[in-house]
Amino acid sequence: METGFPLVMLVGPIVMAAVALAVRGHRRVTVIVGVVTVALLTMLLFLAAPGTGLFADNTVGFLGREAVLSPFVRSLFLFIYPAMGLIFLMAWTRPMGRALVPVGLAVLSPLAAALMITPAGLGAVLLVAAAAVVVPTLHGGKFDAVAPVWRYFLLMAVALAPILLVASGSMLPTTFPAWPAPLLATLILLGGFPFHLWATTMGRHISPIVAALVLGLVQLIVVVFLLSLLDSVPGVRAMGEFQSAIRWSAALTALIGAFAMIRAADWRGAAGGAILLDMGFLLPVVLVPGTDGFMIAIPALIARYLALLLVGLGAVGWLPGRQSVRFSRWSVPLSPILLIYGLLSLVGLPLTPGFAGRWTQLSAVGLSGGMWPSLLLAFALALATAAIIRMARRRLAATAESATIEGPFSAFEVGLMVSLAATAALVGLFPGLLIGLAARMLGLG
Amino acid sequence: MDVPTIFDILDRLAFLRGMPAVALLLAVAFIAVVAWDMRPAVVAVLAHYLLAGFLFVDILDPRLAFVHALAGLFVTAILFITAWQTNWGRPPSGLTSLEATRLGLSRTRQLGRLTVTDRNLLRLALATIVVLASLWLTRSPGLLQPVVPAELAYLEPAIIGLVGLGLVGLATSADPLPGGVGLLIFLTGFSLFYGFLDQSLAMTVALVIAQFVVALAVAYLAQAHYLPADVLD
Repeated sequence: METGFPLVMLVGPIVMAAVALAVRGHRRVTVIVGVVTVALLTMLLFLAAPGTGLFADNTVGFLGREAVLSPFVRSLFLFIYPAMGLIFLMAWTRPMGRALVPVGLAVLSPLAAALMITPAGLGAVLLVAAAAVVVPTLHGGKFDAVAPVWRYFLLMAVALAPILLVASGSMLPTTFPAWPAPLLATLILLGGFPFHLWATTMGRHISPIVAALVLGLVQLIVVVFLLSLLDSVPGVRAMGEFQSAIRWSAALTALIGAFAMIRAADWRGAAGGAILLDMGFLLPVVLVPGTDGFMIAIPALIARYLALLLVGLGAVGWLPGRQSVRFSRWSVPLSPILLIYGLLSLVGLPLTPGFAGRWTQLSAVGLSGGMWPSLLLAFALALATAAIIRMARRRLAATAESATIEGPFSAFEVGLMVSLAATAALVGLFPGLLIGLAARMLGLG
Repeated sequence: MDVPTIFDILDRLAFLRGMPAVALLLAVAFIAVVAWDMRPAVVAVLAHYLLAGFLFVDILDPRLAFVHALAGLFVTAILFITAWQTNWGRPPSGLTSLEATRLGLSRTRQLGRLTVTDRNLLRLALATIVVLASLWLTRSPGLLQPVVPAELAYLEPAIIGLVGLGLVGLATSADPLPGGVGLLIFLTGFSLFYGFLDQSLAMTVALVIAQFVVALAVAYLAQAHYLPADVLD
């Protein structure tokens, strides 16, 4: 085995995950291990810029195959590592499950390998390994979470078959139809109808912070992997069967999500529905080839990550008497505001981070396609917005009654909430920031 | 006494090669999928890995085929320990209807001396259809002809049967253990097919790793479904 820099990205997180697992009884020590590890990885990756000469080799060999740290993968992980660190910081003040930090560190390794290694077939197996690694933190000790987590893992493992068929496209005879395998791989990996079964239930049972890890950061890598895979079979995207199946699946997934939000009795149900709605909107991204597809997908997934963090922080204050934070003379219902803003961002309304990718996604559906999927998606957006407004009115009224209670948040929590809210608001006001970040990752900016 | 090599073992079991192995493989995969007690199911899973190993000999280097069979032994060991720890897949006795619903257990009915659930019956019916369809394929091979060469056409019922039985197993069970058995059988069927497309060492090892990863995740979730949370933590 050669000793290129990718070895640090592949072995380092696994070793530190083992350390974090050993000290998992001490929550804050685990958080420190996690944050220090991702900070070191970020610094080393930053120094591994091509041409600096600090790290001689950006490749590593494995069983005769090569893992290459491309500039795009490097830029992507320069975002992923700090973003993971932020998730770890959430566990500083309150328990998020003992497995969060070890799992968060361990999953970085197969995810990095999946993007770096060729051929894509090996990457597919690594994605299944990543799905297995996140199982303990998704389960989180909750009995009711077993069924949706099992369905999630099951579908990720079944997706191995269509991905391998797509990856071996050149070896398949021309008599085999070209579109079913890419279609199945796409629908299963992105949780599109009819493979969405796990999403709403899982959204209800897992913490939004864990959702930010699995459905935000991990899914970002999965989508990048999928888009690269589809770029290797360029003819498929032009096929009518593939296009209409994706459009209708997107519309149905988003509609099911919106109806779940309307029927939701609490914020957990609404969050589960909003996640499904967002997953539906992500599907049309696969219709856009090349860097244009990445330019839509990356901002959308970063926005999903931010939105889920907002929901997670907002949900912390959903306990009685914890809604308000006192700033000087004003009592601000910060938690409900963060929660509602996070849900609105998942829906993708203007002035929220989710807006950056939403309209390009809608236009990807409408582009040379039928009118009905676009209309259904717009209808799903309207339904979801109505559901959030109804929930906000109920919640803010309840908060006003208890607003006199001093919020028992720690200064650290308030700082985290305010800085995240400010970042989200900035991204919501200037959607170009996320698009610019994606362009820089792709080497276009 | 000399230790027999892989090739000696293959020579001694030459009578099993080809169609007999396919028929036996489908039979044991059928048992693994429909058995609602995990004791016969685990034995059937082990037999399915050993028989699949015989079929891999016709596709891959015999040493790689042996690796597949050996990995199957370890996967079966993981399943065996998990099934043992979870009372062989049997639900705890004395459950109320509410608890049974929460555990995802469907309604039971009495068939003579047997107590079966609606889900078991559905699985039995679907698995029978899949096996019959696979056996019908032996009369008219060629469905996978461009990938599977004509001289190895006897493998087509095995590939289609295992993939079909696996899908039946994973789709008709909400419980990770029987569902996981279905998933493992599906992966074996797919690996047989994929062996014709890519015979590289890297992909063979990767598919074996995938089986291990699935077995470990199934073991974790099966225990999470059965044991109290603090045991897992």
